[in-house]
Amino acid sequence: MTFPDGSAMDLHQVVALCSELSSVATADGDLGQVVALVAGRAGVWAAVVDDALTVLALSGGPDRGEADLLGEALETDKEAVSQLISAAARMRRALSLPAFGAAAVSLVVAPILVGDDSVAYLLTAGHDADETGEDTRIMVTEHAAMVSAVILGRRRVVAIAAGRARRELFDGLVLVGDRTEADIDGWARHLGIEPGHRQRVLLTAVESPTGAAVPAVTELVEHLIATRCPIATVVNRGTEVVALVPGDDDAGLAGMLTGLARLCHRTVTERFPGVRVIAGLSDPHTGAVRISTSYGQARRAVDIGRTFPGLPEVTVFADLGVHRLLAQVREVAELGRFTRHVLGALLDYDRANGTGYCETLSVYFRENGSPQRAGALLHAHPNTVTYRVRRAEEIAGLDLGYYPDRLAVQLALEIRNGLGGDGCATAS
Amino acid sequence: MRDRIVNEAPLLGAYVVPGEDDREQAAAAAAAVRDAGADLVVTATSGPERSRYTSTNQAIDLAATCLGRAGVPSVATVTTWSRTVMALQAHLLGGHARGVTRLVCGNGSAPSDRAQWGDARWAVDVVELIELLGRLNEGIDRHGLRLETPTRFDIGVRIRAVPRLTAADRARIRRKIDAGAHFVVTSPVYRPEALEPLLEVVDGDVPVIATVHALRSAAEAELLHHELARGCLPVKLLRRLEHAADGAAEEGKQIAVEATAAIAGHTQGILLSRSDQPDLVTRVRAVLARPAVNPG
Repeated sequence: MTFPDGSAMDLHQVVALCSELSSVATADGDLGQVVALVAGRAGVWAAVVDDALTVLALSGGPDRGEADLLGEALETDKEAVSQLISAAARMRRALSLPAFGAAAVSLVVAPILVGDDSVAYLLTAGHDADETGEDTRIMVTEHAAMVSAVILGRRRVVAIAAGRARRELFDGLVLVGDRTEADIDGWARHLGIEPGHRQRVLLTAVESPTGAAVPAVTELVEHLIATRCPIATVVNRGTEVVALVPGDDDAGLAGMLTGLARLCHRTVTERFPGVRVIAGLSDPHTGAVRISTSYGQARRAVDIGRTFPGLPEVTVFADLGVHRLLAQVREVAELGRFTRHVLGALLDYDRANGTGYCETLSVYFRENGSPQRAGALLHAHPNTVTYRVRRAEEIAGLDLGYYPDRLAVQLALEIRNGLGGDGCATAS
Repeated sequence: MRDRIVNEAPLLGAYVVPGEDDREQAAAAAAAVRDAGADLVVTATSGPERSRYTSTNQAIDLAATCLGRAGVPSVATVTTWSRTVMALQAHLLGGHARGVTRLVCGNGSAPSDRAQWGDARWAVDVVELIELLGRLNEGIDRHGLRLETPTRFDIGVRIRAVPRLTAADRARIRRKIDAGAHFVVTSPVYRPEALEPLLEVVDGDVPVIATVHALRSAAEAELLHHELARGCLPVKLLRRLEHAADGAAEEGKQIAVEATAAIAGHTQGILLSRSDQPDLVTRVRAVLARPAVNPG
């Protein structure tokens, strides 16, 4: 670890720094103090980041006016830093990312371990032109990570208690009926929700292959939503995370929450292969008394998304259309049987010959029977679309000009697309 | 590394010697030798800066760069000179995270500028480094604590190939292999006789990959003739380079090809000392046209 003037920390300075860091933990300090101390005393850049490389605390550089080398490294070498963080989480040890050339920046990453989890990571960056202080830096980074773990562990205990209270309040708000409007407004205020606000509910459900709850995933989702949408009231209910988000711009809020849900889906899929995330978004409603309606809609959107895995990863209640009705069918296999009854011959033909007549029909109907628009989407000539539709009718033995046939085919296609993959693959 | 040695013998590699602050140049050199027929590159620790900086960290970083940017299988040289176990473990795990799992271990040597660097210090030697890597592969760290995920390092060790080995030399070589090395990389070999004692000590326990250096001038040959142990670089090679005069560099390459042909049958692969001669890679590849050692 080298100061801007080129000198390295001596033993007394290292001992003093470690002692100061320890006192931050005992004095109930925060992560900002930890990184500021490390940067100021050790002549490096320091930060605490989470799995998604979101910066939770960042120090200034060791020298006033010098560029933010750690910020630059996080920005420009994201892939390498992500690899390092992911390995640090797996190994539960400090790792270093060596630099090339005297001017480059080397990184040390130490996981911040609370219980069995790597809840965040302490990063230090320095020039270390001759690496004379690398041992010191690794040691200081590890110690600072340990102090951060004490701070975050303490917060976690408080957060768990607060989370439990929040969950109980929320359950009371949305699940318990027979309350007066005044009671509901009061419960909402306890949760920090202004009763008169317009709001939507985003519900993110987590499903593991074994069916067991995965706390690490719901906590990650909770964290992703809470940090990116600070106005949301976020409740972790064990197997799902509920976010109640106020906002008067209906379309803007829907777009933002859909994007947030996609981020959660992507992040969880990357970090926890095999774990499925299903998100549902309610319609907007005004007033605390409608929160239970919002939750109910988001809940139904998730249930429908679960039944129809072919739907987009975020199911928006308002966009569900006929799937709201289809999801009422208790036996999903019955939907598959209906689809095979209507389209079985065409499905078999497509599979046997590698043709895409079902796909052509889907796009044709979605484009309101326009061969031109369907052709543009399918990269085919309109005449080709017309030919394929006619050929599909022949193979399926149906007449799309006859209303009952057309309705049955449209429903069967919606079911096929919603169930996705092999949902209608075989006759059963 | 071990699977490549078994399945794709004979192995051919080349050392990438770092240029000043130029990763891209190293990645381009790696790609060029790969295109010329090399199976992998080994990133060296001694670059032109010849400082502590041009050591383990740089070799790991270069290997990650050659692997990541050029897609060339890379082996990093790791030396213990002036490094603690704590730093070595952090660097090794950091390199592992970036895909650098093939290593050649050595003690390393301090720069001669003692005024700047002070006396050379080794907190651990190469045997202890190999043992550390072996434990990491078993999922145990430097403190003896369990790692969540074991590493999967291929552990190579650098050993000098000289015509005469004392009993102490032989014992030291055996200690390195018995510590858990998976393969041996030799110092440059100019004549088969320099390799024989080492092969005798290794006794087929692990694959041996011989380094071959193409001499560039008579002056270099003369220097090495005096610097290296007696008999490593015979006078007749020095004379050949002197007679070649302006063609000494070409003669050096020819000697390297001849040396390869002479020793390939006794080793599992050849490493060329420099990656800046793709034409030499092609010529050596031609000599190694058939498996040097029967994997069975």
